[in-house]
Amino acid sequence: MAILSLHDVCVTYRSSGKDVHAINHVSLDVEKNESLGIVGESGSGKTTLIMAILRLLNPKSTTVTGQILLDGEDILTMPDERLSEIRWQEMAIVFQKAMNALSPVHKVGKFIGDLYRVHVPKATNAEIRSRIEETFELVNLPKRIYDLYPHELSGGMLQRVSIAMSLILDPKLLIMDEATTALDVVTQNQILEEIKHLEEERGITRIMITHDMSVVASSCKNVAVLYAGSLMETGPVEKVLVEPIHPYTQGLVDSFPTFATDTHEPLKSIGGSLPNLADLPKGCVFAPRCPKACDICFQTPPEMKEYPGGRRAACHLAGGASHEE
Amino acid sequence: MKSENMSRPVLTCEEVCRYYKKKEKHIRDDGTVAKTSLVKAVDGISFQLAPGEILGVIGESGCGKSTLGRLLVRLEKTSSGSVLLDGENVDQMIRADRLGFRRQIQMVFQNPFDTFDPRYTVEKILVGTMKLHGIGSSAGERRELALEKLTAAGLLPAEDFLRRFPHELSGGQLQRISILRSMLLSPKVLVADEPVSMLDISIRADIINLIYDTARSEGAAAVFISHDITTTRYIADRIAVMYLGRIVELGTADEVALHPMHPYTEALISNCSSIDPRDRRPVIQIKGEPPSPVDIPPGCPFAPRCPRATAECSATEQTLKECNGRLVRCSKVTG
Repeated sequence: MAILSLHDVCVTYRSSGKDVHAINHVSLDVEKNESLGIVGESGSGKTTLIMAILRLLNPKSTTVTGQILLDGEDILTMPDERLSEIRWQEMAIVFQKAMNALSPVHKVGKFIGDLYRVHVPKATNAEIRSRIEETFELVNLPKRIYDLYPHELSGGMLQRVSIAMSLILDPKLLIMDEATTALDVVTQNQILEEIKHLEEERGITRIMITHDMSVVASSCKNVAVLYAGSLMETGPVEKVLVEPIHPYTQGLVDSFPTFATDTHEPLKSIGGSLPNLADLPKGCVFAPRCPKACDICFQTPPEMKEYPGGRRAACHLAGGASHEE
Repeated sequence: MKSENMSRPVLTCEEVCRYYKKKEKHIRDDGTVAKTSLVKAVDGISFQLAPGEILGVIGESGCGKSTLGRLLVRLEKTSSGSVLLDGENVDQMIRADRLGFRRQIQMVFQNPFDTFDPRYTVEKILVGTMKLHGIGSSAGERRELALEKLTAAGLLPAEDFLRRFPHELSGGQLQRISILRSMLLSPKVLVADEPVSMLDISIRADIINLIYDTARSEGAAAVFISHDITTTRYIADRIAVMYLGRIVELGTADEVALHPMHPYTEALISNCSSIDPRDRRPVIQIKGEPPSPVDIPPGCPFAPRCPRATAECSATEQTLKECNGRLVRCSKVTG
């Protein structure tokens, strides 16, 4: 059974009298032990989707519709007490800016200890300390970090602390929002290797949000491509990034220079920019930028269709058009 | 005569160093206490840039690549060594004629959102720059030139863009304006410090192409500072790899990217994952993080992390040696 499943999730922000459609009809299943990468440009709604899953969006200014089921329980309708219980225990998040995720006036150990105490009120100080040190070991951090302040740590170490913090209560679902983007390639690879190892060891399911597709290619099993709040294509990494069905995915893949790219050939990019989310196009959201768009694309939004190999894509022209090439 | 001109470097760095003094008590490895510490951000960089050449500078964050960029355009003063622009020392040039110097070497910064005055329209930004530098004889002519450049950079309709404020533009559009503002002055050298790292993948290619095309068409040389090896290889003729303030390898872009010789370059490149999941090269794991540029230990600073290091590496100072047409700072690499 899917550990997390989204059914027709829509997120709408109200901003100065206008409705901004940040997420539109996203349906997605995440199986246990799967590692899913969600890619897209900035403004495509990656973070909004995660915030909706964690129910961190302000209910006064946002409307979330649809169903978000975590192990069969609907996050959107559960009582607040249950929600605080499952946060960190069932699902944890690692934010992009580790520097801002920790309190600058508390020692790292104290900060994580407080979090632990909220969920396990009976724990003694010694227990908490040993549990935290144990978790530090998992992410290759020395024990002495416990007594240091965040400003005494390097970016890579801080990111490891954030990851350790997310693992402290053994969550089933780990969400990483651009968690390694700010790091160097070398440190990034070290951390990704550690995470992959932890996943196998503890059966963690990971959702990874990033705009860097090379990270997804090297560390995830499946990928979901998001554009202007709509899901464009999902499927196994080795299929989607090699033979994309959707023209948007194709565009993303083409705009990445690789070691194989001939240096004299100009790089391709996707012209134009994201549509205004308050005034989305009538048909396919990508149609205005799509090189292959035809009449139907501007008229009706495409439906998500199944393709062989566990893939799904939302494009009128998919199948026929991509096979001709 | 002409060929002599062609081969004369437009930009020369001679043993350029930039040290920062830090008033902070710290304990050295041997147990003694120092009251001030010396941060060697850039430590003896030498290279020559031919007219029209694009040099890529890559390295991890904190390796001093941005400081090097700022030294080149004289936003920072060198602690020792000199930067020569067309054979003239930049320190003297900037004292003699600040604007004239700025016309010859320009910089594009990483964050396009912080580059412009938020109260100026694009017209004021571009026309103001031209007026300051005496380009064009009348306001009308400057406006025409601005329109022409905007059109050439694909910012259409150009008239509309002139009226806009920076906050009304996207990062990619701002970065394009930043580049074309620099290129308006027809500089001999353009220094671009991580110009695409803040931008979305789908528009990065546009910016890379714009830098490449304008530099090539204006015959300007460029220094492209980045941590992204694939992009740098694409745009640059030669690549310099920096580690802790020093160049560890310098050679043609393809050679360095595809057949790295220095163990650090090798490790760095093996860590750049490709977006093609079928292309899985073995990743060389390097342990730890770069040592801090405060009181760098003697010997090779990469030795503690290097998979090929032996005892002598941490004992002896490594020098940049020529090796198969490339410069490599490693005693383990032989031609």
